Amino acid sequence: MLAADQYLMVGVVLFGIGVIGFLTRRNVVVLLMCIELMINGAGLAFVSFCRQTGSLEGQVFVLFAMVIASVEIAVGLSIVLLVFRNRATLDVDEMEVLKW
Amino acid sequence: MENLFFYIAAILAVASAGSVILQRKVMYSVLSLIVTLLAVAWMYAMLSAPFLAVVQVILYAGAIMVLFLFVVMMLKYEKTEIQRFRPGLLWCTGLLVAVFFLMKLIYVINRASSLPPKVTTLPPDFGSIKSLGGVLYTQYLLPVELTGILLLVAVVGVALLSGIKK
Repeated sequence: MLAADQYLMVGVVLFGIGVIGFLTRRNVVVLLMCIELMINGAGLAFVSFCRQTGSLEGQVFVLFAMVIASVEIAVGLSIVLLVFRNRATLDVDEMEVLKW
Repeated sequence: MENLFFYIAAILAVASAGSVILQRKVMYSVLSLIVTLLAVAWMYAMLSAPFLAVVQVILYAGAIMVLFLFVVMMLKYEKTEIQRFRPGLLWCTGLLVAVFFLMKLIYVINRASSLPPKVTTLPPDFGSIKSLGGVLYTQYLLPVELTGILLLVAVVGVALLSGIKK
């Protein structure tokens, strides 16, 4: 049987790629996708710990995380649509009304 | 054999995740993210979480990514894409912080991953719908109800946000 540590490392790398993308890309839709990447990395870590310890709590948490991620994406994308309709931009550097 | 399957899934997941953040066009990013999610579902199935793998395929790779695809198609993105690449001070700082964070995370996980006691024998129905539902509807009943309320609030909010008539 394969050690769960390797799955854990894949989860960490997915999370890190998500963080790198979130801090370097400037498109709102890509930023939302990077959040998805981070959630999946965390979920993979949950499930591999769950496999390692033999308890089901991690899988339950991943289920909740999936529901919350879908809600977040639905609301986030509708906000993106609304902003695009009003400002005609997707660049986060140009969405600066709330900055001050 | 299991090693081979794991390495295929891991390489697929990491490569397509890199492709998500490196692609110029958002549509290609969305398609790469679908591959990443399917590879993660594959790894869920190998980690004895078959129900989660199915839910991942249906909910993530099915529903959420279709939502992304629809929004990307509605936004007429090609017209508004900023083509020029500006690696300014902020960009470099972000990249440095993110890479440092990734290194730190790998270091911590490497040190901590031997901590929990390893269970070699799992029950045969570990991660099935029956066992997961048993935990979900007894011990976590209140969070399930709250999640239902959250879904309702999200439906109302999205309807309000996208249905405004000026």
